Amino acid sequence: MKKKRLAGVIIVKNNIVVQSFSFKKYLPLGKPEHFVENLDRWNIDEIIVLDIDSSKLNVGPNFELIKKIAKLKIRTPLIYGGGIRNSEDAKKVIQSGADRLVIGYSFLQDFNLPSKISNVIGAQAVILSLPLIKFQKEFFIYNYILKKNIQIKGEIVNYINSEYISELFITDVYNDGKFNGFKPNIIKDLKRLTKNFPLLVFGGISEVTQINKIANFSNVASVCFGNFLNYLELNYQKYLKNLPKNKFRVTQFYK
Amino acid sequence: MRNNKIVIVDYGVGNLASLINLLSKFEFEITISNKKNVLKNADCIILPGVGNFTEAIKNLKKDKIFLYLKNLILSGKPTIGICLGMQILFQSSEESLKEIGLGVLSGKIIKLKKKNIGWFKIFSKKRDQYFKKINNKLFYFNHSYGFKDVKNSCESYIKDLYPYLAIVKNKNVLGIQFHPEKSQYEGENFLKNILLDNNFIKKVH
Repeated sequence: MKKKRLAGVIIVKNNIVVQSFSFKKYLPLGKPEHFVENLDRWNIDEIIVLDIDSSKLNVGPNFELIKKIAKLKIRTPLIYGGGIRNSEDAKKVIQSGADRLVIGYSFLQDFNLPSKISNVIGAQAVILSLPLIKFQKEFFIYNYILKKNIQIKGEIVNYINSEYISELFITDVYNDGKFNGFKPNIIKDLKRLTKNFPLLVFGGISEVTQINKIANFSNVASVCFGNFLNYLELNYQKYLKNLPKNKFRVTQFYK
Repeated sequence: MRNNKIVIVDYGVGNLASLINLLSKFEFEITISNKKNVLKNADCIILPGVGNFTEAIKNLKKDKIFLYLKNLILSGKPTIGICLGMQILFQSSEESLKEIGLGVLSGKIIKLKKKNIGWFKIFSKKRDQYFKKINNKLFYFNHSYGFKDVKNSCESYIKDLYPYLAIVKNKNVLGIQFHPEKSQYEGENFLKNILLDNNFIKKVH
């Protein structure tokens, strides 16, 4: 049976890890290196680092941050997102030490970007970020830079379900940062648009029963944690102890 | 620890940092290069992963090492290909209509129905020293293309994705579809055991 993944998400603003609340408020937590080292030591399935300044300031990816993380000699797959504007940026992100990448804001400027990037680094490395807002059965992508919503309909549906993208990183914008806030119905309703496209699910996920419920959806590939994991090492130990071994890669702590 | 000279071929694609980090833990002498004389003097050549088949072959040709590398591997140089690095060892790939592979392994890489991303158990047919240890262990895969004909050629296949190949070994050539450098303890151990194996790596000078 294919295992569901557990991912640790590290949100970086101004080179500091922050706790995010609905993409609006941010609470500083500490240096990214410390959080990455912890997640690697816990043998989490993957680490996702999202630099939210890079796109906003239009300065390109935070290569220095990726290189710093690469120097930590982690042995866990690293996914980077933030400021990737074109295939050249994407190539450099991988060369700097990431295994896969997330594109978001740039996709809204150029729907063909996944195709251009996958021609260089392969589609398996391309993840599309969709910060979602659901309103009356319709889905919108929240553009957190322009503070605008873009409805997922028409040709956008085709671009999202493209073969040039490997997985979708979905965030429940309203419930981001809220304890036990993620509403699994979003996954069910989104299937109308994305069918069985594999999802990484993020935003307000904190409880074992909630994780199990989310992982029961066949199209969920990875359940992602941010704030709740960054605070407490004990949380991850609790997850490992209580999650079913046939569904997750339950590992021992190492090092 | 034996000081094997490992040369990671730099063909412009891939995350070399992870591989270097892992190998440096074992105290191997590691060089990143695409120079013929450096490749010639290596105890083992590693072709790393992540990228696109066409881009990889184009870069090898641009660096004028495509044919040299092919002949070097055919002459018996111990070679390890990881992920895309494994795929370019084959004759061709559905990922590329324009470029053919190095052709040191027989067969064609095909497009997977679903991209294979995550941690998968592998199963080894062979029971020799390093393959028996990895049976039913989970390794990190990340690929959209793969090799399917596992009946004759493979050492290990992906248990959850039979009949797709996980490891292929043919004399001096070892192809690994997963990422040992990103498979935590199991991956680290697997790669270390191979690189320290006298039967696989023979000193060339």
